[in-house]
Amino acid sequence: MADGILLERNGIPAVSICTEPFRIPADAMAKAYGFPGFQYLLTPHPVASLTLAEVRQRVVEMTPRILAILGVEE
Amino acid sequence: MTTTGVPVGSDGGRVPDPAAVQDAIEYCYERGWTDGLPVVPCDQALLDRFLAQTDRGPDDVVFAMPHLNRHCTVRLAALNAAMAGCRPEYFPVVLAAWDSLAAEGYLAKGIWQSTTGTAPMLVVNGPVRERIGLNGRGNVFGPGFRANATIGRALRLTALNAFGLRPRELDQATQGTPAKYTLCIAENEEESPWAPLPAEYGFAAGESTVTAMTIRSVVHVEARHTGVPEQLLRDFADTVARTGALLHETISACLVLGPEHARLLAGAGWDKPRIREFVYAEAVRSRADLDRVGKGSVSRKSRWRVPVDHPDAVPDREAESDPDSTVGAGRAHVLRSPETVLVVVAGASNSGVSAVVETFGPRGDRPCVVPVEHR
Repeated sequence: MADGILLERNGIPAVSICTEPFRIPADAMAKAYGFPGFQYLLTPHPVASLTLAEVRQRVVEMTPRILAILGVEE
Repeated sequence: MTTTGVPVGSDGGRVPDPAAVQDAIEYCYERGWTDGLPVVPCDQALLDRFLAQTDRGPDDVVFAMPHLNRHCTVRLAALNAAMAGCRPEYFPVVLAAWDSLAAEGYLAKGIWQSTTGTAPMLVVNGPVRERIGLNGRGNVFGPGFRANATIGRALRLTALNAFGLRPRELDQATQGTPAKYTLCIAENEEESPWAPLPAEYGFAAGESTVTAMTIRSVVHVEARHTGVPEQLLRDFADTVARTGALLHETISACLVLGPEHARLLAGAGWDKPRIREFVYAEAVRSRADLDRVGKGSVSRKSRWRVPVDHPDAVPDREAESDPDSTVGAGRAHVLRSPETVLVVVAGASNSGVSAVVETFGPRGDRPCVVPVEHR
């Protein structure tokens, strides 16, 4: 979250991604950085133990949502 | 009770009004200022007694967490120490603990927000132990001693109240550890056969110090069965080398030896450097063991242990430098070097019980031994 916010503040579009159990810490971190409305992406937990194919599937699933937050029209 | 309205105890001493005390305790709970246990309500007069213990200014920064946009001043550290139940004379130890943690480096990297759920362990040496009643003997990790209980707790309350590291919010620990409530021990220098921990780093006898370590677990070693130093040390080494501790490529450890074990080793001519060398050499896992639990390689980027067929898998440092260690009866050291083992003596001289404290550091660096500054 911090990285995403700092990139945005430096003019670099960024989308932070975290898994669902981290929603509350993510919101708390955004608040700590004075950016409570910071838009980020949630994905199901876990990620660390996924296979390569499952990771690729996640990317496919998340890409439209990442682009939506970035305001990119396909 | 007296007829004047001021409650008096059976010894004639003044007894505070229980209802007022309960109200004050509940007031603190309602504001979320506690770790779940009651805190001591602190007013300006009590805070001033803490601040009088140090030459530092109330607004001096004790520790900053830039990634949270927060910092802790001497005043906030004192306030939380008072709320934790410290006596004012403990405060120089609390400040030294913060200095030691800052020097260790993990805090600034956000370790207190990590899912691992670490806690700081404080080891106190020197005359301050006796002066403030810090326990280094029986039940050293257990309850019953105000200074041990409250100095460690002062750090946790500060984490909660000054840095906002509340559980399930900015503190993302999956399970945490009971040590997060408090973990402060004194070294039992009087019953140790060796020079105390700070002496290894140039501190003179008679100097009071605090050494803080970021830890994950305190694992008991039950070893009442042998008088053979090598057997005893292999019991420690096997405990160090458990695979569950291997998140990273290697781990580090602090051996908290009970005086009985320390005397057994010293009596057979073992000093701390020799113990470190032996434990390093014996704390190994076979490559087959590592593969069996899916920790045979490390990730290219994070250097966390992963299965050998993981897409990011690369050989660990030892496999890279010594490919023979990965074949046949090949073995991997779980410690990076002998220097990653610290040795402290604490506990009672009543049984063959010691502990392996699984630390995040040092990984070969100098431990962060900090002198206690008295005004």
